Amino acid sequence: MDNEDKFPIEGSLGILAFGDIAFEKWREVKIANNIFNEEEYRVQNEEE
Amino acid sequence: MKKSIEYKMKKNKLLLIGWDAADWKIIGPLLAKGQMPHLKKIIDNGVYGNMATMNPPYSPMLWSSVATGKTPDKHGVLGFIELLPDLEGVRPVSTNSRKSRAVWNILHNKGYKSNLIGWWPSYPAEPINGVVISDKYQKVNSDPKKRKPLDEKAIHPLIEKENFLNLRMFPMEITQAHILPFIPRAAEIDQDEDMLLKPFAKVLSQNVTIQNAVTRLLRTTDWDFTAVYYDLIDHMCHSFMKFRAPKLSKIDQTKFEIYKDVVDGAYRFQDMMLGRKLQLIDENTTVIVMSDHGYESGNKRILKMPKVNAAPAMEHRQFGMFAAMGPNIKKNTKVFGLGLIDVAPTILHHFNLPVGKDMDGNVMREIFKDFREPESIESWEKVKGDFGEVDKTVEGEALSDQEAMEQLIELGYIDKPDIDKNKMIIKTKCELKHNLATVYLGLNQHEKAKEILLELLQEKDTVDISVYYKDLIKISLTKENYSEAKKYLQSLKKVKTEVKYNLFFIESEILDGEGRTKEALNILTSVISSRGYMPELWNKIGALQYKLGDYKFAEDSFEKAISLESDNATYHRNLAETYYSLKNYEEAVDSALTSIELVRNFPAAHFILAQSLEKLGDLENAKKAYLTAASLNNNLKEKENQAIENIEEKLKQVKLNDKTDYKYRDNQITVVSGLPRSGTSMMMQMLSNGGLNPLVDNKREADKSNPKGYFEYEPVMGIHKDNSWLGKARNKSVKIVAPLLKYIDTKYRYKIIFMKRDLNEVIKSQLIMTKKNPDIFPVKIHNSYVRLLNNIENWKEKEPGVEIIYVDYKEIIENPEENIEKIESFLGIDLERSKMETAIDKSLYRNRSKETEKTK
Repeated sequence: MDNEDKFPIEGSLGILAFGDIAFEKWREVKIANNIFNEEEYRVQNEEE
Repeated sequence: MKKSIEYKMKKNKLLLIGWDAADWKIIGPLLAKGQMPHLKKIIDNGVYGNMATMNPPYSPMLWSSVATGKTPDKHGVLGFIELLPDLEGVRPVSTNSRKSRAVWNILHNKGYKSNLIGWWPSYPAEPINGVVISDKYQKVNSDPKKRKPLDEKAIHPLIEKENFLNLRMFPMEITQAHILPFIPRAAEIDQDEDMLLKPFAKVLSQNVTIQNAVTRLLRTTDWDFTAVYYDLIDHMCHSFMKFRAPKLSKIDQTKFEIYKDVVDGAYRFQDMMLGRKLQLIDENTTVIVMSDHGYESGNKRILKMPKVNAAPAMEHRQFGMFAAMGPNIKKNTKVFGLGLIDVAPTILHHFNLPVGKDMDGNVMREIFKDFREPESIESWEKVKGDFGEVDKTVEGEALSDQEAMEQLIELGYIDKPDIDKNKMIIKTKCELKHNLATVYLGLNQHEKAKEILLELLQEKDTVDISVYYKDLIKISLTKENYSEAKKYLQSLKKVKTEVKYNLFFIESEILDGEGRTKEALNILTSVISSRGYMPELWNKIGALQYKLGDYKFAEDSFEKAISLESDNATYHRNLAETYYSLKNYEEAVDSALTSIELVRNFPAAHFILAQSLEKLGDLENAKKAYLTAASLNNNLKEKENQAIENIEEKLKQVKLNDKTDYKYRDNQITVVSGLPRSGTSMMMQMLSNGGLNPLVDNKREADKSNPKGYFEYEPVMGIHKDNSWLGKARNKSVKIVAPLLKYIDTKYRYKIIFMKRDLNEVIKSQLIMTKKNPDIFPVKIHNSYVRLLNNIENWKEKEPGVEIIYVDYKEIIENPEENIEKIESFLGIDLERSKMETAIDKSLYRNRSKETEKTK
């Protein structure tokens, strides 16, 4: 299969390429579906 | 929403997008397949061309040159790392290293609003009018358990922190869906053995973070200038270029299959991100997409990096890319001769601001539809006022930046910091100094570079000094000081180093410089079996064969070099010159045009094009090509001007080819030349008698071999080292023997009277004079004289300021009147013919003939 067919313009990478609005929405959905752990973000961004 | 529409209405905005390491060689095929549609839109509606990089091609130095319009010796960013202010440690290079004002500082001073995202280096964020998201912002810890609060100096103004905090993507968030488009067979990777997915996720997530930040700013802020920098392509190339097609023989087939699409994927994703940014600007905004250097994608890819400072940069290619579109940018036009230092002046010009005279770059005139002359000021550095700069006087703390340091180590740009702190500091100091020396080398400031390199040799106990010797050799060779080059080469050979240098190039160049061209060629041909894959080797071999007059061999060698590296402009130019010497002028034109297509601003290619066109009789185009060569090359201007003068005369149908119709040239230098013992002294005497003053010092007195004197000038013997005295020969005659003719300074006009005499007679006369046995005929000397005479013909053809007539020694003795008339006409001056004739001593020739006859 040619790479041309494998590279999604509208799919997951399309979301990332779209920038801030799509990214925030995407992360929200991932957290809501327990794909990512909200606690981990909290820890990473947390002030000492 | 209404607010953002108002922002879009603002006129004359400029968006500068940096794609580190983007290269037309990769982009071209992707454009052709429709896989970079957004860049294609810019090209179709704007300008595009090569972007020339600088040496050393280290990104923080280069992007600082883009920002300031200055070379690194002026802007002060000299590498990937810098010393702490207290000199007690090192850290990633920061804004503090930059000594010059960037374009956003100047725009701040003039009331413009700028956004700056991810620029390298931009931490600590400068307090400009607008928003700065520094290059520290996107660098998060790969371990999700580790805290990574956003540094307060990473963003300006700090009030924006909350707005951007949650736009950082973490490597752990990269999912299968993100990886598969780049690596469809990612599931087959054994991550215990193959660690490449880790840097992949890190680089991808960091670049998404940058995209998030820039889209936020483009959408929600009022701005005049936005600059954003992505390292996606560069970093993906460092990890995955070796796996790209065409497959390198030493790359494992399975790994090739797994990773071969990553680099192209990075370009396509970069283009997708470009598409979104184009949605967020309007047609009144000018967009520039550019890279700082290219990246080797052919057989010059390096599989095992040598352990030297910033080794991965060895894969950086000389040309990056540039594309721009906007209301005042030309459409679908290829532009030439762009350099990184031209970007800042061009941006200032775009905003109607004057360019600093202390900037090294120029406004890119060619890109504009309507071009007005740029204004200038002495220097922006001297202007007082608020430029939104960080206060470097209060900066004293160590900017700990573990993530950035780790990434630089991972990429191989810096070594793991030494446990011995002092050693680490010395190493860093040496690297920065060496980078500065390299900048000076690039600027042809050899003395400054040499001073630093000699100083660096003192650090032999801490660092690998072999590279310093290599640079010192380079300087010695440039200055044609071959004994010094030899001395440094011996020292280099004694240094213990892991770096494998191709010393045969240096050895060959030294031998050639010493006049041992055949030996120089032998050294190179002896390594063909092991290094025949190197295009540069074939190019150097070709150059030496050309020098020896073996044009057919040279043609083959240059063609071989081109078959290995088809887009090297120098190889095509060299081939053009060879065709010219083979009198194959049509092929010469083709090769010269190919060379110019690759590098437009290549004066030597325009020059050989002009000469070939002139030979083909296309005088108008030849003239244009000479004019282009002259405009590009200050050093050779006189040569081009002489050629143009010749062409104009031809166009006016002055019959210059007719030897009886030469004209006098202002300040012409009459050179009497020929092989020794071919009658040159007699010709000098004739001219002197005829009224043309000779440049002589009479240090060599008359003797039996030349009873009337030699008419020599001692500095002629050292002309290969110093030809500055030639100015004294203007409107005079001077004797220069044939082998030394090639050293004349071509800025003057020369009339060469070349004495010809039967070669056997010449050689025998020389043997008698040097008291050697005339019965043993020196075949080698004979052959080398034949070659020399052929080379002179070829040399003359390439020097527009040189005119030659050949005068036969025997004939002038037998038929002086006709020959003197010919000489007088050639020189274009009146001579006292009868007095000239008195210099001819027929008895002398008869005696000489008898002498040589006896030996037959």
